[in-house]
Amino acid sequence: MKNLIHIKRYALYSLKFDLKMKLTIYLLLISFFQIYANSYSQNTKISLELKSVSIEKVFRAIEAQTEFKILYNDKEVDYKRIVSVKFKKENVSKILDKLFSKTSISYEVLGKQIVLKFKPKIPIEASIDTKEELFDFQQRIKGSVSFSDGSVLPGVSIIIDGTTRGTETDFDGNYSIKADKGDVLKFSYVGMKSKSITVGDSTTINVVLEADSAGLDEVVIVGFGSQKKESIVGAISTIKPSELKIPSSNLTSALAGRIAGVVSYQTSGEPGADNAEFFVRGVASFNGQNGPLILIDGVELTVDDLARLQPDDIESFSVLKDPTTTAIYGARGANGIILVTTKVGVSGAPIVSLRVENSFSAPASRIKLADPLTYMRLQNEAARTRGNFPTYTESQVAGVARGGNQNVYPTVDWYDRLFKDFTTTKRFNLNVRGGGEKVRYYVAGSFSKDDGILKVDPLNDFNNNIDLKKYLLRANINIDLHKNTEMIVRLHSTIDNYQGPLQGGNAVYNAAVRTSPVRFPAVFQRTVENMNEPNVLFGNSTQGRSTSVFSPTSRSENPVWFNPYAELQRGYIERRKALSLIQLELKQNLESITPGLTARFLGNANTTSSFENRRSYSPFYYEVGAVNPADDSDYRLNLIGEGGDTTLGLDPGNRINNSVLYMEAAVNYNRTFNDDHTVTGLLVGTAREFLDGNASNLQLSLPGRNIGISGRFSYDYKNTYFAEVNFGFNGSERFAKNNRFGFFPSIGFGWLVSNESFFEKSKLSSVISRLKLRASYGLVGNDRIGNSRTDRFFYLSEVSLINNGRGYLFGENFGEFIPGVSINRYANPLVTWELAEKANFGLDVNLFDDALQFRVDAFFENRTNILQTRVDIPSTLGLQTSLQTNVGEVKAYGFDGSLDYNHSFNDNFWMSGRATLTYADNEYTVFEEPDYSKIGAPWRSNIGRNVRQNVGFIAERLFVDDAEAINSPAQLTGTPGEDYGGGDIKYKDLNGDGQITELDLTGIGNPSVPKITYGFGVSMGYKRFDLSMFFQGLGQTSFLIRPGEISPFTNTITASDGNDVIEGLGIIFQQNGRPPGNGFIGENGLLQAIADNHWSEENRDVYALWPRLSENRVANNEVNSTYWLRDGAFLRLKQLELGFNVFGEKEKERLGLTRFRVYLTGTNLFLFSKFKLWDPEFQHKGLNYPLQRVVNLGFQIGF
Amino acid sequence: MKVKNIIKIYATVILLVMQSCSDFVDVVPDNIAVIEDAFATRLSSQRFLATLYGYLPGKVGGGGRFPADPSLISGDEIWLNEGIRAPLGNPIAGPRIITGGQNVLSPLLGAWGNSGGPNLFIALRDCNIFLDNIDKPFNLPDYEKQVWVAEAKFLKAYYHFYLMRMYGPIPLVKKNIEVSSGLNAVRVSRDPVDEVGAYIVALLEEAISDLPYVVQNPELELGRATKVVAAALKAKVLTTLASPLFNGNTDYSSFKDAEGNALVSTDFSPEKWEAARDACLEAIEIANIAGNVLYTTIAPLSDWSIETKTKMDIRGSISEPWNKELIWGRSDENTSGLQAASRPKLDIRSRLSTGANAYWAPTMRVAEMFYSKNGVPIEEDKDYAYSERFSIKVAGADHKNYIEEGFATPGLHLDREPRFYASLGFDGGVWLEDQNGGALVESAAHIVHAKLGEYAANNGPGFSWSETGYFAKKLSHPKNFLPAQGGLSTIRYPFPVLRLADIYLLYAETLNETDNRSEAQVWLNKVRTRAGLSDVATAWADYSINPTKPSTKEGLREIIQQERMIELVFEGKRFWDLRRWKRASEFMNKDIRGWNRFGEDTEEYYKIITFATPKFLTKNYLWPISEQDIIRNPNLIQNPGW
Repeated sequence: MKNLIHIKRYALYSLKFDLKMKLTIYLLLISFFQIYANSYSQNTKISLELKSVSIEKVFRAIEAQTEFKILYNDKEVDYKRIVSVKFKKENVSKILDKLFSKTSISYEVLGKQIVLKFKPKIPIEASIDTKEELFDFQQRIKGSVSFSDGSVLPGVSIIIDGTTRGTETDFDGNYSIKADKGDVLKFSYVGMKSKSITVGDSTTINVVLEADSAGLDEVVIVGFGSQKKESIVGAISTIKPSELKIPSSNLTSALAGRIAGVVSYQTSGEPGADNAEFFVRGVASFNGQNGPLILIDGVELTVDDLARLQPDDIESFSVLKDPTTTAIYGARGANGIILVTTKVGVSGAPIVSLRVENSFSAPASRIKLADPLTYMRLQNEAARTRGNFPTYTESQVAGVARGGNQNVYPTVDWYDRLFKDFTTTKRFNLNVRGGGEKVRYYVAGSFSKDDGILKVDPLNDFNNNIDLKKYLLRANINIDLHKNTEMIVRLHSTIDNYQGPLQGGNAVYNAAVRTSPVRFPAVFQRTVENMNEPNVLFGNSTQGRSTSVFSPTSRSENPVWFNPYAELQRGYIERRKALSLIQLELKQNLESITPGLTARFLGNANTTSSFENRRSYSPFYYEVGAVNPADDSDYRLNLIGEGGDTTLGLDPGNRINNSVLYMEAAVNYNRTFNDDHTVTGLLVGTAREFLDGNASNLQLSLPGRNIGISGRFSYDYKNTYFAEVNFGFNGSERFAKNNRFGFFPSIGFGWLVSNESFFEKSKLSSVISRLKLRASYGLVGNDRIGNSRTDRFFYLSEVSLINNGRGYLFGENFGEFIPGVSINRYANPLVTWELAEKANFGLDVNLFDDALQFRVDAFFENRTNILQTRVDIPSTLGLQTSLQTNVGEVKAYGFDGSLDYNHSFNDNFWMSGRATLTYADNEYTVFEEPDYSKIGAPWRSNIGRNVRQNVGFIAERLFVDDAEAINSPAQLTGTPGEDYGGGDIKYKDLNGDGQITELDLTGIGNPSVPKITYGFGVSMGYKRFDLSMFFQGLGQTSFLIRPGEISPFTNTITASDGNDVIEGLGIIFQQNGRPPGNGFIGENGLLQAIADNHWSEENRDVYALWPRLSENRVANNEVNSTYWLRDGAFLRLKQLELGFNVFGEKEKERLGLTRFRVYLTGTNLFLFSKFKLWDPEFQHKGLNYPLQRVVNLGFQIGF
Repeated sequence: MKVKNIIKIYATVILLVMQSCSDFVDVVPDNIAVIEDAFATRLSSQRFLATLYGYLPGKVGGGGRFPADPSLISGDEIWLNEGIRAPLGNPIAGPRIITGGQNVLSPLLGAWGNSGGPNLFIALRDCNIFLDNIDKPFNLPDYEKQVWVAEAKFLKAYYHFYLMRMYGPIPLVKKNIEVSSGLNAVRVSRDPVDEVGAYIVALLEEAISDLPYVVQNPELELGRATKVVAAALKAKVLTTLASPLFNGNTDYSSFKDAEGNALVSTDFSPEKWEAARDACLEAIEIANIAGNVLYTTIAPLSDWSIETKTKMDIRGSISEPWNKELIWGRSDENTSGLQAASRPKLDIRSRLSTGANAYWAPTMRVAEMFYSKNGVPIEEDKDYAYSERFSIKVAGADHKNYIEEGFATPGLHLDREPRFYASLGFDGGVWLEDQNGGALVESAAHIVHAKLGEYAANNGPGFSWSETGYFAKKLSHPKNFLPAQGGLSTIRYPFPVLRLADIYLLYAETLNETDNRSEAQVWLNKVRTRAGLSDVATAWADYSINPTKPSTKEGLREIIQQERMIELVFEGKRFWDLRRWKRASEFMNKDIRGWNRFGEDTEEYYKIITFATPKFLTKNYLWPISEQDIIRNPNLIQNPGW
């Protein structure tokens, strides 16, 4: 392999003389950065004294004393010629004349560049004056590099210390390099401890590298570039991509507990809708958009895009948390930043890596429902206890009890009817990495197929189960256009192909719990009369509930009930979502201007598009007509109404189409002077445009744009003292002109105590291998101020001059409609971004030769200018819509830390561990609200509360009886003894005014965004086996059960579009304009826990789990109160993995493999929590598609 | 390379970037609509005027929604069945008011801020915006502008009145307060009722002088305010101010603002009645000029009996579109839903029809309220067997135009005044309607069959039945047509907000209060005559156990009040009248009753069922201001008792 530095020099040489090179790109950069050059005096004089050195070293000495660059082709110039020189204040040209006087080399001075040229015709003669030694000390060193677990390491960089010459290991982990005896070879690899070996007599040097999670020499990806990990003064969490490998097709579900400072939880297990919620250091604003800025290869993308990333493709994953690291993003960085870079190619033969996984998943927990008989018994109790007649007759109950005919006395286990026991998921990931001298590539493709656990009726010829196929293709190509110019092309495309139930998996799961088990069967068994009917005989009834016993005549002509099975089977959605991204990056080394100067340009375009088709038919419903009371097999089955229509119809669903253009240009400077002073500088300009191709109104259709410049300047002295200044200056389109641009500066300091000589001399250094203190302070902004992306242009009023929802109809024949005018927003030109004033204090301690690594950061944030709806504008002002201004302030604080342990006990046994803990709390400091203490209700105030704490009433207990309810303070609504009474929740009258009102509300429980997030795990390996486990938990979090969603026997099903229309007669629901299919009355199922523990006339337990039963929703009991408050803390065994490397070294070599590992992974295996009804991580969404317990078998092959 | 040069490079870059920066993020086109554009032209200004009308709170509802105005279903005239009242177990607001569900936390059907109905302060703000900007359109002629301004003033007065009737003292919105004004400016206080009333009257007087007697182009403009409308409203406002609730109501002796000013006057002022009387007379005079007369049917197409003719006079006074008696009708609200809700299925032909919902069920109290055929209250009629009113009797031939001959029916349904039969449908009752879309033939009239299993008992799917066994016949136009299948096709009429009989009765009331009983009886008798009854003095003298009742102020007051409740039944007047008379607590704490609709035979059916026990406390005379609004504006005083 050629010496790298010479290849690069040759490239620049060629550029100067061969304009056919891609100068356009170069010129583009030149015009951008206005290269500044002036003639350099030829009279520059230098002094030089060197003995027995190569000419190369002489060149370098000249370069060091002047601003000259000496360029040459190493094939033509014998740079290894050993010479001795001695000049005093000599002109550079004279020195060069002398050095090459007897050779065929001439030179030419071009500005500050000296280009050496070969003149072949001149004969070589013996040199004069200088003593010449033509002996070459250099020898070729060969060897291989492997990891401590025995696997070979391709791509390890090997550099001769003190030079820039170096090479990399090839795909077999082998290398070869020319080096002098006494040269020090430095082996380094990301994630490994570097090793330096001095070249001795042997020409073979084999090296074993050890894992190093501290990565002292590691480079960390930061905003618009990278920094040596050592020099970081801010707070950055990084994670090895391998730790993000979980058997899930969603990367976001792997974040919880693994990264210090990231707060994360997941509230659905439905494939395609299972993104976790995550926040960097909790939330610090009370508005809706609190998620971090997500940057993948420098480009802002969405949570969905992050979720689709394959851990195999990730090179680095960093989370930026503090002001120095985030201020560079100015008005976009306040909520923290997640930075991901993808892998790039390395020179060498292709390295192929294949991963195949097959998972079996089943719900990690299941809601337990009471049996049908209990259901009927308690529904009758619910009716009776509220003064109604029992819902079911004795004969009905008896029919179910004796297990009568299922058509007449149905007992449906809806869960079993709708769901399978388990399902499978398949994932394939294949990537190839390699390259030649000038082109390197990384190409990856992956495919995954997630199936849901929904059942498909054999009669359906379409699949209504969730079937999510994801395809991903990524190609990162690096091309060296020239030795100083690198071009990187990234192409990335993901396609989600989703097929699933009409209402989504969460809704189906919900419906299973929200349907009566005894009202009607999912599907009727055929009787003789309808044996030949071609359609499925879905169960339903025309008889409503409120009059069921009393008014047999009160029948509908249409199906009354919601049959979830029919709803599931009657159609499906087909959705396709595609993201495609193309990216071009150019890196230019500008050493010719000044050493250490580089420039970079990045252009990016990505588009997201999605469309869906909803196909469905309207089912035929049947009901049992007359039944022979003596023999329940003697009955009639009647078609309801005029039946359905089994041909499929189409509803076009949502369409998404948006496009992002992004551009970034940067100059970078990085140089060390006199070994002690390292200075870096970065200046970057960015511009971004977002366009929504499917906007619903004019204002949304306008492009979203950001533009700005940012900079970073750092200095470190002796690798011990570090200082850094960052700034971001940017603006976005959503504010008024005078408020558009903001300047966000930050400053940080670091002190690497362990590099101090006094420390190195002290005894401490034998225990503490590294000790670093960090501090930073700065301002960062957040321009995503509203509750959603649609909250824009607060400085403009939004007026609808022709609003058909307003206006009036006049005229004798009611024919003259005049539309009206409405105001949707009042202009407020003062609205601007949120401002976060942040401070961070960090401590890094490594013990026992880095085996134990501890880092902790404390943070403080004062978020001001939070957009708030003005609450003290009285309604008498007559505004049509509320006003919003930047008035709120929130203080956030906490700490996050991590502890890592790494140790190889011997060649066979290694162990590592990792624990993280994040504590993040916040409180309102300024919130516009009435002066509650003045009106005697200080507890009602938000000030001092966590922004995500629930507000509710204090529930004392349940009323003992109606008399108590009548004699207690009047509750919220309703009449005591009628609308509420014994067995309903009694609230505390905090202000003692004799009634429960809004003033008796107060903050209750812990916040819904957990204050504590933690995780810990160990991995260990013995010979070819490895085992790892990871626990994850949340603490100090609460949630409120939503009683309306689980209250037994009540109807909580609403039309999917929420558009229930009460027509004069009864209730007719319209779905997307189609004729009503399913009825829309449901009866919630009965949770076993409620059946076991509720207030009843016989058992007047005033602290029962559930209040007095009711068939109708009881408004009094459904408000937020401590009665429904539950502890959301939990600890789960998130992952357990057992791996085995099938082949030993020799077999691998024989088979041509570098890796063959088989592994078994289990996720969500155990859960420890106080709350038992469902998975507490789901919070109140307990009836969502459950989190899956996955058992996964996979193998990885590398060759 | 020197530092100086680096700085130069950086400076150049910054300058380049800065230049393009501000343009790049300026994405908003110039011609985005702002509120000033609403007054650019006559046409756009007219849209703004329509916006002002558009704030009128829904009176009858429609399109699946129940009215925002509480007067129709929050009183004791109409009782909705359970399915309509509490669809899916979520009770609708209106009927909850009856049973004492009104509250401060989330008030029901209020009109102030966030209180379950429209926020009429929005309407008032828009009225002021209109009045402030109406000079701007370049092509609005002065004569038209004058009318529009008057209409806006009328609406501004109406919205103030609506709030005052509901809340008593309110903050007047004479001028708009700027959005940017400080908190002290926006935290307004309530003005005393008398000041509110005076301001409303002043606005109305300005409107009266500029409004036309009738609209110029009925095809385009019917439904808009006229001189008559404004004058009638003025009469109503002044009568409301003179009535006991706001005139010398000592219940409110401690209802004062922060400075100690009484918000409702506790001293009775007879001049208020005089002002009201004069306003009523003025309204009647203006109505006269405008051509308003009490409605009577023009020559019947078939050979109607006198009973039928009278019934059609009564039914037509409300349901005949744009009849001469109507002063102001709600042209915007489609009454077809209300008509369907008021009508049962009448025969077997309409078995599959879906347009007769019948849930708009009058209560038994309403049935008892009507006079006997002699024109006096049934409990006062010496010929009427009041104590036997629930006993079953058989309808004779003399009732054949009211009840099917030979029908077994309680005494309550016999020997009643024509308005009883014109306003109510009931089991066995005659319901004249044209089933073929043609002429109304008396002999082809339908009989309502409402016992369990009969057509009118359950009117099809869902919640289509009358809970009480009565039907609000008065609200259903006789020429509605129910086909054998499908929905009801209705004759749409504008629901009356104001009609002449209302004003006549107000005038009679004010005359009585100002001790002019003989003149009062003149106007009372005009309404009675149209209803087929003899004059007050004769009726009482001949049939009442209290024959001198009309000769005393108190006696005549009671007579006028009952007359109002009968004549204007189902029109949303009783709801407010009972409040201004301070008689709501007397009526609204009595059971809501009806017949047993589950009865299959006469004996079972005519059992009395109690559906609910209303609850009305002194505090209910005025609406509660939502607690949220009180908290936001500490200068507001909550209404007494809330």
